[in-house]
Amino acid sequence: MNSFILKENQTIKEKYFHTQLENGFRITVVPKKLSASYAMVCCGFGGADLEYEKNGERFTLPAGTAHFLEHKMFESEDGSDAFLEFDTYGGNANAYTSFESTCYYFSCTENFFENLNVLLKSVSSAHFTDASVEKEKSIIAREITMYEDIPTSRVARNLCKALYHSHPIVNAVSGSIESISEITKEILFRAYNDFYTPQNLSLCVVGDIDPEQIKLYAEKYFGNRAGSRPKTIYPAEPSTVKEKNITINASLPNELYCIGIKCKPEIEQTLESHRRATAMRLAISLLFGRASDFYCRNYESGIITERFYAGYTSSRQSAYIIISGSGSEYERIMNAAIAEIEHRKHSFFTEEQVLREKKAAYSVSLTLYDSGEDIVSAMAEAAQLDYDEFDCIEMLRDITADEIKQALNSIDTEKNAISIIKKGKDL
Amino acid sequence: MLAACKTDKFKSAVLTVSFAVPLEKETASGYSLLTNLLPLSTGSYPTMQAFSVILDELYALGLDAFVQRRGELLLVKLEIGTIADSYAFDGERVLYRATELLGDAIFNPHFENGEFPQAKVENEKLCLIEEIASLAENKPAYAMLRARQIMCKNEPFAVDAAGDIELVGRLDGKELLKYYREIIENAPVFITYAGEADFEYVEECVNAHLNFAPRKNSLPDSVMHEKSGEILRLREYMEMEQSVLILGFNSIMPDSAKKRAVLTVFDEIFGGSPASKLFMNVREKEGLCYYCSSYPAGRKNIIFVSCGLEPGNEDYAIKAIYRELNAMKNGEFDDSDLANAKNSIQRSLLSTENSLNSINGYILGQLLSEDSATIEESVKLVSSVTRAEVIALAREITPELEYILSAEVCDE
Repeated sequence: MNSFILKENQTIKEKYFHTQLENGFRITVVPKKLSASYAMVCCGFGGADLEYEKNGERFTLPAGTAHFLEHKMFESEDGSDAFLEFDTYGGNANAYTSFESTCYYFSCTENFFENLNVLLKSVSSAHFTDASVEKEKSIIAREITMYEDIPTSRVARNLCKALYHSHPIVNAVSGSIESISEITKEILFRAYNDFYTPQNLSLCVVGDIDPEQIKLYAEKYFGNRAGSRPKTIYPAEPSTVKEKNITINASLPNELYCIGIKCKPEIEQTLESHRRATAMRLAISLLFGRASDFYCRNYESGIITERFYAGYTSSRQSAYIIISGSGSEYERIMNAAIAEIEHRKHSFFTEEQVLREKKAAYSVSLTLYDSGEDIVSAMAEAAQLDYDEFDCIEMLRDITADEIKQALNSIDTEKNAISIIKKGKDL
Repeated sequence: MLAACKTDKFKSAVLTVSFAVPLEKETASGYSLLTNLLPLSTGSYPTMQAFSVILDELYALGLDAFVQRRGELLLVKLEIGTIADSYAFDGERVLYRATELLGDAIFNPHFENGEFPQAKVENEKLCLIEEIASLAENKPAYAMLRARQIMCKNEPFAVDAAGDIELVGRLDGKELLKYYREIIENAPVFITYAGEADFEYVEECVNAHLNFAPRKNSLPDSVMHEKSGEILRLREYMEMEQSVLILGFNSIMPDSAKKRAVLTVFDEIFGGSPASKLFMNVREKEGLCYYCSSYPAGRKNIIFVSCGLEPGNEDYAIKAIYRELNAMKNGEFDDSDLANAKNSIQRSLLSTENSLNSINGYILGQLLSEDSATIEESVKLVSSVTRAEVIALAREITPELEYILSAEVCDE
């Protein structure tokens, strides 16, 4: 197996093989003896890629283009559906789009290479007609309105709109009914040709499968291509929040809130930037996790409920803390959360608390390896980066209290915003 | 009753205690509230923080308690997830300590004057009321609950396991004690484990910390849903962007492993997969919706079809769905559709062993049903399903309910 590099981690007793084709297409194979095998093709093209530069020329895409492409990629040249072909081989296929990437995958218990063939064939060629693009618009419109009907998703999106002036995360990954109405087959072909390039694609397989065989398949479909990833252009984003408060009204049983604090974004996704994000996540768990003073005090006094959540999101050129929940005490919670952050800057957690939080985070990250689906998506998405999941586990062991403190101290609580859905008729 | 599945495929493990009580409107709220209270603290760790801290120290992935509906049974479950012993940094017997904590939560709740503390009860009532009400935020799930309530009016099957807001409001610490005693002293109890530990080790942990008083573990049979013979049409308004259509059908009672196999094959072809008739025709060809799927109600002679639609398209969609059902009745599916459906189900059965939760759920199912088949037997049963059996089952299916949770104000 000379073309593959083997990487192993003794702590979690896992290993994987990695290689890339000459044109930059990356392949990861995680050997696992499960009764099912999994494969995923991941393209570094997502909802945030709206403006880009290629060969000195600038292009703008309507919001929702990456997601629209995802919907159309399983359509074959003759108009037939790849789902049916997967079905013939017992493959269970699906796809998803995030702000950063689009991923296509299947799992199967037999006919692995037949299914792999369908997956690679689908993603390595694009077929659109005016009629099929038009029909897809009505299906996606229903998907968009379905998300509009999920108030937790609406309140979270409004928080992004409050925090950000112009970063593409103010749009939904799927776009809006207006933005997708602008999408044409020409736009889809251009986006496909510009972004589905070997250097922007990776294949990950989990199962008891010979890596060299997988490489042959990858070469067959992607070997004779060339091309790098176009550069996404992010609009200039001020460090301030756009709006302090976005409140909408809706007929709901409970009021919902999302509090955000805008943080300094990472420009590049490197191991170092991931380490800072991990430190910030640990700080947020120490501050607001289930074992924290804040959580227990406010839960026991009925100010927060089971639905309370606190986390940290760091993506390409955007980063923010999110604190969400339901009930009408949002202003009190926002003030208390800000006060807690400021208080802990001066009165940091004990070494024992930090250790415990790291132990809890270690347990959670171990469970990633309990699911073929989770491994395949984490590894396929990480293939685009210069670090991997093993680095992340090791990082949890050696990250220091000082790093967590630094992350905590970097939070500028002035940069807060809140999104609320109040009870009552929409205005 | 203990069942454990030893598997070395996972880095975590799960241990679940499931109590089975009858599903009834009058009592579901009490059991549901109990599952909110029990995982918060114990007699040994009386504050929420002390208990959360000890769970974190033990690499615990959380102690959860929740209720689940299974036919006319309400399962009251307490479950602890941990990492497998071999991944602990310092060679701790994590499972043993985790079982001890689970046992503490069950047998030694935090009581004041022999009762659940009133302040905690009141707080959890508010949380539960909020949780029950929040179902309306998930429109498809809410529409499904309404469809079940309407179609199975006066049957236990219509009861929402989470409870009823009004009945939760009436509960107090004293009342809760009755529910607590019922599970501790009488309710059939099933303990399941999936993870790397040997049966002997699991047994040692369970004997030490989950020692239940002897009791009868017999369970009642599922009750047939009465065929109504006519189609009930109902439209209710909710402020939202798209309508949700739920069609309810009377089907066969899946009371044997063979019948369940035929039903699963029918469902896979009709509306249970992305290669199904509903997905391919109602979504892909007609472009009517983003999702359109069928759901056989577990252990009940009922099938639902759910679909999210642009307001105004409901009648058209109803016709399109009936057309697909008629196609099933007329045998309008190829041998390849049948073969693919069987493959897909068999793959999903064989994949049970790839997820801890699926294994744990599967072994609980084995304990709960007398007629349950092993995975290998189920795979064989699915293989044996014939085209004629699928058509015969389709012909037994009759529409009973057309429920629309409408995004448009309606006159009815």
